[in-house]
Amino acid sequence: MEQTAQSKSRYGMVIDLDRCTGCGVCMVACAVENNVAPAEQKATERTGVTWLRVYPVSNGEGFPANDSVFIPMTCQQCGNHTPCVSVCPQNAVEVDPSTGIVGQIPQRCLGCRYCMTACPYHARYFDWWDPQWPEGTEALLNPDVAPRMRGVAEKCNFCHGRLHAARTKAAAAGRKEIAAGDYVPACVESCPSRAIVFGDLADETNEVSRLSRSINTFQFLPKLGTAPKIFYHSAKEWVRKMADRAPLA
Amino acid sequence: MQNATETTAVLIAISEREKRPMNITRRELLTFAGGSILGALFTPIPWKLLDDSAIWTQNWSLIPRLPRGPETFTFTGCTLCPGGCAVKARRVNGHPVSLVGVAGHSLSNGILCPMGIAGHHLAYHPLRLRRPFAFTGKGADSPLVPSTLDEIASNLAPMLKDIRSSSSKGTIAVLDQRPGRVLSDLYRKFVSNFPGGIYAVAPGSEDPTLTTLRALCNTTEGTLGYDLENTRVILSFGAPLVDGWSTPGRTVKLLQNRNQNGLKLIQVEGVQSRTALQADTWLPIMPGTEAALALAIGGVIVRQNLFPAKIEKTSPDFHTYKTLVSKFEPEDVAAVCGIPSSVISETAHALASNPSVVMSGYDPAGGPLDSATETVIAGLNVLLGNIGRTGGISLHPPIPSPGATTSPAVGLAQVPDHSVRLLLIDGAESGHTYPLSLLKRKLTADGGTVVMLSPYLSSRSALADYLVPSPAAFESLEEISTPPGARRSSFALSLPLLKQPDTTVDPATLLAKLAGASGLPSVGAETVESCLRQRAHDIWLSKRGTLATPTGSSQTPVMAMASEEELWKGLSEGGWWVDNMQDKQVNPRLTLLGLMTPDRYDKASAPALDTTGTLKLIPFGWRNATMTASVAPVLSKLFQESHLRSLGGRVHINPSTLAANALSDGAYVKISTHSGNMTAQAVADPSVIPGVIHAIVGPSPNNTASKDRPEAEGILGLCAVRDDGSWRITEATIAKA
Repeated sequence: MEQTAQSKSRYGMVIDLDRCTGCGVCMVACAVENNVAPAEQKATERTGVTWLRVYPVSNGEGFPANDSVFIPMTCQQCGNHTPCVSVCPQNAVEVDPSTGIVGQIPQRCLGCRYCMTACPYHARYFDWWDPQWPEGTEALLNPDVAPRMRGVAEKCNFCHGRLHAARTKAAAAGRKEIAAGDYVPACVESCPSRAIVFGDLADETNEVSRLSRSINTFQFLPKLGTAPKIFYHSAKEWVRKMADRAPLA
Repeated sequence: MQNATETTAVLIAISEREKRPMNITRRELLTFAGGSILGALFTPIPWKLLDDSAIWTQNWSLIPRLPRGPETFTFTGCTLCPGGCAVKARRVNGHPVSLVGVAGHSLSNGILCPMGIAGHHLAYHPLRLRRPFAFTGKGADSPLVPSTLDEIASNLAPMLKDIRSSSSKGTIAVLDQRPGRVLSDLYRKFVSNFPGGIYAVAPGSEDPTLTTLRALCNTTEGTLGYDLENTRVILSFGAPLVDGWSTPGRTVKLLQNRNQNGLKLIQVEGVQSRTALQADTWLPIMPGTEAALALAIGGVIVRQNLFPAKIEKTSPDFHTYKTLVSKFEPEDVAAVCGIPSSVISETAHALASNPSVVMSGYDPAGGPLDSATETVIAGLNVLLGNIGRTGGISLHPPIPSPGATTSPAVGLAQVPDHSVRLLLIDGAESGHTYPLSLLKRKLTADGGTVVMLSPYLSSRSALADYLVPSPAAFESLEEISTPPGARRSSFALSLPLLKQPDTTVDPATLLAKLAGASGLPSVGAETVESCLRQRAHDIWLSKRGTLATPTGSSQTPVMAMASEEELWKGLSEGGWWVDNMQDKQVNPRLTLLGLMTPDRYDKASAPALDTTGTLKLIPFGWRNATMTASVAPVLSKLFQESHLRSLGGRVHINPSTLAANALSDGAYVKISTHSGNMTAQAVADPSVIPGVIHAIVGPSPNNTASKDRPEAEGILGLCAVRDDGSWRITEATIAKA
């Protein structure tokens, strides 16, 4: 464990927007994995909690020149001047130096929502209601992830429960490093189109590292200098031109 | 110096003041309180109290209790739709906590859809039926009263005996929503005991092109399937190939690997659907002109002799077809359907010069295209010589079965109107929905009696007189038989992951009860498990095919299995059986038009779409998500908490159409058809062709609808159902609500 903590990995993703069919399985897999409760009756797209949200985005042309892509938007795991870390008065947001993952600590969160205001990607969500599952469903929750209470902010943490499980497995096998296949977030695992590639960006031999440097790969809002670790790929120029604005529907 | 008198006075004053009781002023009290608070902040007391109270609140009863216990994995299969994807379930203390696809599975390729990923939550749906119920009257407003299976059977016994005696007006029918199962055989056997008993299959439960092709082939034997793995061009008339068609993993994987396999997808659709977005070519067609396009493509193939020469000799109606397609010149059709004549010609050449298939698709809510259109789409396969060809459409042997079925299967549309006195609706779902009026008109004039097996109180429950709770997904042992369109027959078991409530009813048990109540002999099996064991026995006896292990790592030929128990054990561990029999020979005398007469196609001059007067109302759905009850509550992430999928009650309309009708994005509009009217929210959507109301049939905004009455039918209640059972297009008008 100690050696793993010193490994200085930098986990990230490359999402191929040309492959994404917008099926939404990643959103559901994320909610099931991370015990994100179903919507409260009054919840809307503004107050709902989706650690990963797929936005349909159009090129704005009329029929039939219209074209669309689906953009899975999650915490961009900013690697530089991480805005949510800077503003949190409670130190409830931390960047793990061993993985580069921006983690959220709900126990410290006081619910001020400065982080939500600061996040340029609108990838943070607030628990407006206590989490409630239909009667009987609680027995089906993931035992590795604690549900969050009303009044705290939450966001994607690259399925931290799975990272812990992979670390435990590596330690049990006497390995210092996590094997690549042992740590796969739920959205990556469930994507039917294999549109999401996940891995260690610091490892130049890794596929995700290679793809992040490939042509037609881009990050959102690069001008902010936040160095997101989520990269997107599209051969369509109009899609790449969106990089300078958050793709909110 | 003070004198003695003054000194005495001061002393007396002091003495008097000391005698007075302590009098605390307001100022002194506030000073004390402020000081105490300030001082307390420098002690651990408040911080400890805060911490303790935070911990205390986390032990409230509403805080979810996470499951704890040993972790195990079970291989099973998803039965939410006929796709039958393989599932690996992670279980903690016996409870399934997550479901994922099985990477090595040769049919589903490790892929699950959003409904499947959350399938284990469905058993706890707020609309779950947990005991039999009866409606006290007809209609959606009548309340539900608790009942028992014995009560229902005894209430139905006189009617069943009456139907058996042949004196009854009207007969019994079973509506199977997922034909091809061993349970389907049981249903057929059951209805064959009644004069005129009908075994009907529900709309959407079979592939429409293959169903039509079966009629063109004039064969009842074998199962038709697409050899997509060797196909190079797919011409799809609206089949949702990447969004819930057959086994999703099959087509998604093929399309992912287009760079390697050279597959081209041409999608013909009036909306830029998810499949259209992923297609190599999208042909945005005016809805209702699909037949004209298919005939124009056929015309190019015939005129330029792009078809196999043998077709002219083997198809008895070739010359009729040739005459018909001569009326559909690409230039004329282009003006009608909105697709350039050059593209029509290119499409015809692409189909003729590659192994190809032409298919249509049931929309999960919009249903099939009309039968005349389905015929010419299926007929293109005949013209191209795709039947029995590699990369085309094959006729393969069905799953081994004792063949004891006596009632033929008919589509619901073919059931004579007002002929059904007692209708039994099966609880399995095809993932598709249909207007209730399609069912209603099959019932006798008095409304008949409807017994509905279902895990949930769904919109269809409005028609039921008796509701019998069947097991939900992953609650009971079920079968996964050949998915529609599959290349080979296959069979697997869906093993239960959850405890089945004692009050739910096994469909085979219901049949046995009804048989007993009506004095019938046994239908052969008392439980679904006994039916499934019989099927495994039949497969073992046939010595056909191989059994793959759950992860797909190895395969064992059935021929090499010493006993049927060995096969059953393998299936019970999550293995799956795939047939390896040679394809059957197809009847060489294939017709191109079947029973359709050419006068059905004199529509090359269909009127151009109107954007201000009468519009085309087209219902649209997503497989398994057309009803509130069929969607796990956590799918609110897609429907309610984001804009990824539209909720029911919304209509997508092109911005130009909205503007022409003085409406705006987000406005509430009144949609009127001959069947009635309803209010819906308009969504300006440039991906929808102008002149069309693309009406979403989906779940309600929340999943906690009242249990006393089923949800309203919504947009499907406005659709006009034609004689051929299709309801894809209905004329409608819109106005501001």
